[in-house]
Amino acid sequence: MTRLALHIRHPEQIGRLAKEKTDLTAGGGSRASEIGRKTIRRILKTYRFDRVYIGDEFCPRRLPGPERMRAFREQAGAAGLKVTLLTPPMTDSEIFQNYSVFEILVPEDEVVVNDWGVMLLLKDKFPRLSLSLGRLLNRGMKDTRLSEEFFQCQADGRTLLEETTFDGSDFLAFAATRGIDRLERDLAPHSASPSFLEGNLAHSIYFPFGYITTGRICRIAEMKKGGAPRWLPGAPCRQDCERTAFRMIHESTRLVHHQNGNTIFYRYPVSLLDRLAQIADQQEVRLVYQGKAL
Amino acid sequence: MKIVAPFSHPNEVEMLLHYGADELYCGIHTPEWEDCVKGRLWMNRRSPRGANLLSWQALAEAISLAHTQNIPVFITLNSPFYPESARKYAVGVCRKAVEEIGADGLIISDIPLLIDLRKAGCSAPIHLSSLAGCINSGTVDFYRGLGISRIILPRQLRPSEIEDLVKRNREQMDFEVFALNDGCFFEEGYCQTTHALNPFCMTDWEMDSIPGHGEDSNSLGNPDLLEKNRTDMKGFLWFLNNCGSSFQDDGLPNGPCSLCLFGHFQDWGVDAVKIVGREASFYRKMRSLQIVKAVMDQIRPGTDPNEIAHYACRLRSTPDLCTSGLMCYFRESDDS
Repeated sequence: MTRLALHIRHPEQIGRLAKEKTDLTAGGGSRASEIGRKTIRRILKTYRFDRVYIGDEFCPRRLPGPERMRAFREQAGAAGLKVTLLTPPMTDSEIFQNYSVFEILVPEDEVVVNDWGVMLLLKDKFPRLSLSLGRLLNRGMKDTRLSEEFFQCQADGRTLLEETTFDGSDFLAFAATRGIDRLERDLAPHSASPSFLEGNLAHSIYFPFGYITTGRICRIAEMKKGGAPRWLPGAPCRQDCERTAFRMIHESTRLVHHQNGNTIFYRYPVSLLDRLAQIADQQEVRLVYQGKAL
Repeated sequence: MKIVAPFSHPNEVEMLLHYGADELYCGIHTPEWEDCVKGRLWMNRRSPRGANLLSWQALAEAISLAHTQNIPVFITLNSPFYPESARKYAVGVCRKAVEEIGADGLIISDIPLLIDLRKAGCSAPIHLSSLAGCINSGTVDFYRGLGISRIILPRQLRPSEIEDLVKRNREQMDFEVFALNDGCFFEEGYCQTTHALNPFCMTDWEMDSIPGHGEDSNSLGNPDLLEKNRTDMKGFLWFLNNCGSSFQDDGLPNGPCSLCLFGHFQDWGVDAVKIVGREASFYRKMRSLQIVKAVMDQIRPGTDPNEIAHYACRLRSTPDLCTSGLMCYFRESDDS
């Protein structure tokens, strides 16, 4: 049965989840965005919510410290919620700095890995944790500048460009033999009929944003920086991404984009939200709502 | 350390051998690939025309010439992902390039392609493309387990991180780092866009802060701050884009560079430095190799890495660009 998870940033959000769910979809906007919000509301109402996602897929500076991690565990436990920790790609030094966070996890917790080295580390040192492969390891084409006309002109092009790493049967077997239980993904902007529901691994689908691109250089971290050195990968920052995100538009794409921290996302159009709702109705998936965390 | 240089036409090979390349790499784009994907996907990360050889005959000619001087040639199939039907064809391309044409190895980032190649019995040396995003020792172990013999490190590392990674793993793995040309704002391996529509990072977005996201009175949504950020970013992108594809007065190419770190690379145990730019002109390729070779020739046992750095900066003769720090591939943070 389809279940719902909510990506949150602060432990205190757990105590006010019902309100958070309402807040997530509030606000004005165009008619299309209002229709989109209705679909999101319906999804949030329909499925049972039993898990929180914490941490971050894209930036090690957004991982919780040990104290916050303990608070997440405590409050989630008290609320009867399961915990999934998202982790980003990390250098050896970043892994070392965040190692104590892994030590706080308990065997029923789950970790999303976006880095093969982190995956090996967890298999070796914390073999009882459940592992899921993150979106960064799922390669494919999600260029939001490809127009609908492009796909309409070339019928089989859509199928070709919808396929991703996680769709290959050999890859699924490869992942399973390495003790992976689940795959995390989002819907490609041009997605019409994703075929990922086959195979033995469980699937999580993120909404209402898909990620397009990311890196260790952070545009948001640069905003208030003066003088050299500038635009450094993995540079120290004031975590302005916790307080500010940006809506971005450009004539080359019809979709609304968001810059949050070091990553650019596209907001699902109504058609994609409908597709998501259809998948959730028909198949057993985990829906991961990231509206508030971004 | 070896110098790895790109080519996109057989007539560039003689020049590259003459000026001291130790290894060559190229991409190919065949008519059969066009039939397979009908123009919707590139066979590797760079444009079919201009950056790739367009026939098996051209590849055979280039390899044959390189082998007269015992210089190995590697074929890059470094798309971050190949759909299944395209991957089947890519496996055939790899096998033909190695087993029939005589290529010395492959450059790959896609794990399913790697799995398929090994299943097909391909035993050629495989170098891991920077697009695989290897930035820690565990990932080195992971790819060593898949038969990778050299890892090309991604652009978005600091010098201290390269030093740490290479020193920890140099006994088990060869490492290659970028030497010259073509920056990238995002981590290329995690960027799910195509350069066929121009680089996504060059998009000049209209941005505004999202209401209700918790911004405070010092909001980053301040229009002046946003405009400054936009201007700063354009400035940085200019550096990444080979300083507007410009050259010094003496013809040496401007653009992202790690020349002043060569002495350190040598000390840390880096095995090869890569000149980027398969799509570059004959002239840019030649001048790129000349400047890399000139710095490499300064490295001798016991040479102080700082002397190499000074030499590289003098050769650059663009102190304003060098001191900006923005032309460096690998930049250090104050907290390191």
